[in-house]
Amino acid sequence: MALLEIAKKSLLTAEKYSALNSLISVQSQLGLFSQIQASQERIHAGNLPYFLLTTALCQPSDTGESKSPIDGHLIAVKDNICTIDFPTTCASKLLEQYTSPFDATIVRKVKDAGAVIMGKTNMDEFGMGSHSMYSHFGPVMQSANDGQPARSAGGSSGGSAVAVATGMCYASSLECCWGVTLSFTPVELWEPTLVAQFASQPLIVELLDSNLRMECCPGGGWLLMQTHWTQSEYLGEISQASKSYMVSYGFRTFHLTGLMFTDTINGHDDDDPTSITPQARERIQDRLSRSRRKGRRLVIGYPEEFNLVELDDSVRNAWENTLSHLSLQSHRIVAVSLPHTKHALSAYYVLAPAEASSNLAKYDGVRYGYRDPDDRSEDGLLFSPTRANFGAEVRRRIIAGAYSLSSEAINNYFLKAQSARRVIQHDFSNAFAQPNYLVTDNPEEGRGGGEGVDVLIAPTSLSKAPFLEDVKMQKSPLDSYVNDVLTVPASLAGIPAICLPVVHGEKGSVGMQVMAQYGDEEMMWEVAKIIEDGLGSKLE
Amino acid sequence: MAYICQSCLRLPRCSIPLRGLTTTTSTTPPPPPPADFETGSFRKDLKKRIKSEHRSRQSQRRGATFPPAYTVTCGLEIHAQLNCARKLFSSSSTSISAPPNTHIAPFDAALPGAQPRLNKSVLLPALRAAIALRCRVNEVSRFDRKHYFYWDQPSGYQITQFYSALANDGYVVLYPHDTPHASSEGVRVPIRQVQLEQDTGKTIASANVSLVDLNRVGAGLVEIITAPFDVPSVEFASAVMKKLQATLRAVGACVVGMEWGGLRADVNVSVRPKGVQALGRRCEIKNLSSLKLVEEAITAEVERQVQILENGGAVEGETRGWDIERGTTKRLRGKEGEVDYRYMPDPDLGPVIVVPGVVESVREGLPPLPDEILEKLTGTEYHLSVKDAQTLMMWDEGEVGVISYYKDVVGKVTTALGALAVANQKKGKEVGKTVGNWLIHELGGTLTTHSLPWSLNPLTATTLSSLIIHLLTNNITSSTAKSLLSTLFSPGETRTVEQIIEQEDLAIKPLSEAELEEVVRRVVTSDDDSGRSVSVLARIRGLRDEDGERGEKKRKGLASFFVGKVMKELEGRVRAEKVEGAVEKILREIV
Repeated sequence: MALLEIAKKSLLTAEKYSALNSLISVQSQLGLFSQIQASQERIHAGNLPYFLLTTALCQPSDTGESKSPIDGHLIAVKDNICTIDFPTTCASKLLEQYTSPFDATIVRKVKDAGAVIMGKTNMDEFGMGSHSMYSHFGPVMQSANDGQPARSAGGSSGGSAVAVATGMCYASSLECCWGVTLSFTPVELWEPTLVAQFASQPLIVELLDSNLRMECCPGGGWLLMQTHWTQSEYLGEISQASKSYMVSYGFRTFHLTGLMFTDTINGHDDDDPTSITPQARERIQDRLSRSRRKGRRLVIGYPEEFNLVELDDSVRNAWENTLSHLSLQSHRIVAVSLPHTKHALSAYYVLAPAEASSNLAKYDGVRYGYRDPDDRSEDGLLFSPTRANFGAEVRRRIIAGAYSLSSEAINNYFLKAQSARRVIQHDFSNAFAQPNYLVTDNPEEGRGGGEGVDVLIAPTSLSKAPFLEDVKMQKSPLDSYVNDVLTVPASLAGIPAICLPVVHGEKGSVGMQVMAQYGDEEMMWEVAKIIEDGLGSKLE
Repeated sequence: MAYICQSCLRLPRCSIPLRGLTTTTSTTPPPPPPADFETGSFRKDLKKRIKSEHRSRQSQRRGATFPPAYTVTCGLEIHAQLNCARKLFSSSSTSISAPPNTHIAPFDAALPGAQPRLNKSVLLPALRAAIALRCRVNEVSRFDRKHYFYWDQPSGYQITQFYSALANDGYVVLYPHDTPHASSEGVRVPIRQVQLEQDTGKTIASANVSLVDLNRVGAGLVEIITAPFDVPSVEFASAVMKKLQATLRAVGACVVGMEWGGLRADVNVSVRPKGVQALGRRCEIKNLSSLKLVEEAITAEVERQVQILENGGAVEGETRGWDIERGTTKRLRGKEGEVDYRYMPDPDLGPVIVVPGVVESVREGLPPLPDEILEKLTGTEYHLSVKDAQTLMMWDEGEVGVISYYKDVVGKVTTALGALAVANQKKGKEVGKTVGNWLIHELGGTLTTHSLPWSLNPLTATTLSSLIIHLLTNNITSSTAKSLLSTLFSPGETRTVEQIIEQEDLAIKPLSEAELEEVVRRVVTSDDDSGRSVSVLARIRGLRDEDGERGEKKRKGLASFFVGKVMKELEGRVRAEKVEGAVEKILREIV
């Protein structure tokens, strides 16, 4: 299908599903079409469509003057990633009118690759939420195509998830949609050997968005979270919790995921202090590839602690199916214990609000954004009338975070949560066959005696997406936090994970995540591909 | 984009311009008209006004000593702008005189999505500061966020080093040349910590509207925290400040002086009755931006605290500010109102790791410290007095170029004079002294007359040395030399000293006795000065009958009128003694 046709179809879809409220701003038809026209002319009709070249992902497309495999395709961008062509609101009243003077590095890269930004997607305000209901622009809904009431689209990137799932930025089977996310790194996790003469080039483990993994799967998309070196978040995502979030993306198929990954996004960004240096990246890849069990019988682990009593039967069944499929492919399945998993959720909800309270301190209305006519409250507190315009969830987290950082509480909350995070990281590192080469050069380090696994597989959510009505009925906002229980551990550990839908029952699919050692995306891909080939939802 | 000044993007590295500065006072002026704001004249006026206020207050307090029954203890927290062309975490350039809000990167303005990036070049001046202050440089230090809301702090927190700082446990030693309170072994003032942190913006407040200038936001500072030390008099505290400033200057760590907001201090003050060991309850006085203010604030605070104790009260630990209008400290907040800064490790920034060998190589490359310079200047090579040496060292708040200029001139003159220099030295007229006098009194005076900072000194070392060489070789008289100096200051003057001497015929002429007498005769008998010569001559004649010492003295006084006239006529080309002799002779003839 010609690019223009694909784009038209996508726009029609966006119009059709406008009631789902997945987009905050949309590019005008005229602007969109003229950009795509330009790509079309570049590419030359008649050449091979690039998706037939997927066996050679890394080779540049040899079709016409195409800039990249995503040249001319529609990309939706979550509204907390800075764009100069659209407002960047973070779904907040405080940034309702704000347009960034720069593009996020990742946006710039995508634009340079010829892709067309079609709009900005709705989300929970500043990424805080699990159902995309806390938006200044109203909640996101997931279409109820099975005749049942509307379901939660997940959060915080529900708008992105819906855009992908409905095909608003859909092109034959090759579209994608972006979201953003979370990640967290203990300050200790730097790599001293890479330090230049005077200062360190910080290395950060990136983080994967736990929430996004949950939300994309109900929509039937892929979600990739990768190690930080592969891409930049600089000038990218507007921080809620700095190290808790990184850019990740949702896709509908493996092919595009791979293409995007290798060609467009990958790379060190000098402007991102947490982006890993090329040298470090090379060293880690080198170490990993020396001892990888590639092409042989893999050892697949399933973390026992993820098998919670609250797990829905359908989810547990899908998990079992996935493992037995892998077993049939003659890979070995072993149980793994990650004993500190139970602390992950509470640690996460101490650390993330703490960073949020700090990162959101800049929204005072002085330099940009919404400003209340009164600068200070009657008792002289600066900016409080302006900052009262944050939504309820954001205010809740700012207050919780400010408390856990306060001098009387920091020892008992923030520092304890940092320690919890560290032991969770150790749990994961002990489970894998390969060590975390970011922090060690010793191939034997960290392994808990056994041979270790190549990947870990677990579900991403306790149940299928809940009904919106049920979410609204929840008594405490904390009830939503529980949904993150299966995705938070990998985020805290800072390891790459990919979430993909596996078919379950007639219509439904269940999200399954593949987690790998730091830097070992290659292994993660390999296993994900095996699962998709056997159990993936077959798109038209 | 609009927020970034072009020079931020283009200049690979620029030095901080020290010329044509406008003031950076952040007190409360009336709102400036926009045009004045541009030119800076408003701020100049403001600075002038504040200065004169200081002066008048200072004179009232001069001589004030601490109450003898009490021991005063101070702790200083000094914030000094690091000598670095770019900000701590952004690529915008640092500036002290640019128009407001022209040096701001997205990160400086805390725009959504912008992230910090450590500018490694700040580490060199910071390490120099730490090493010059004899600190232990920590192998790993980290950045933390200190949270508080204020409009000149765009991100809602300041990035500083709280949990692990760049360096700890140093000291500075004060000697008798620094303060009369030091013995020759010196007094050691311990330094607890040296840390990196971001500067804030500036607020220019007025009744109705506060203007915020973000140029300074994010510039790199070192904060130097001393341990508490006993202060025998308020001058001792400012001597510590001066010593720290001079040290930072000398090693090139901080080049912007206090007057330009390059150095600011928070001072902790406590008093206790003499003989008591435990320190009294301390109060912190925030944001003192000059040495004078530090002295004034300590004096006033000690007075206040002693008053409270004398009245049987107890000092409350609190944070105070300096009330510039009333000359007292004022309460900002008490203990219960203290801000909880919620220090948090900055998740965006990695640690600073100083690899082995770096400290040693920085130490080796360190320029000499003030005490070493002083020792050298007052030693056998330069023979300067401590006072003159200190004057040179503190020129324009420690302008680093002065000393090397001075040494350069001394070297050139000494070489040119050869054996003559040795001869002069035997007579106690060492070249070092002569050059020192010329530099401080003649060149310094002329710079002051022209209101020029050292950096705009139009004379190269070569020019000044050739001037002094001509003087010392008796090629020109000292009055000629002085007028030559002013000539060299005139705008557009491009000639060398030699050319001027040649073209304006300034060299001492070997005038014959007869020629000189001829000139004297003409001057004495002239009537071209409204009869003044005639009347002086008449008065001399009137003294003819008056013998004795008194008459002789009066006569000499009157004769000196003619000596002056002749000297003027000859434009200083003949030495005064010779002229005196000739005048004497002619007067005897004609009277």
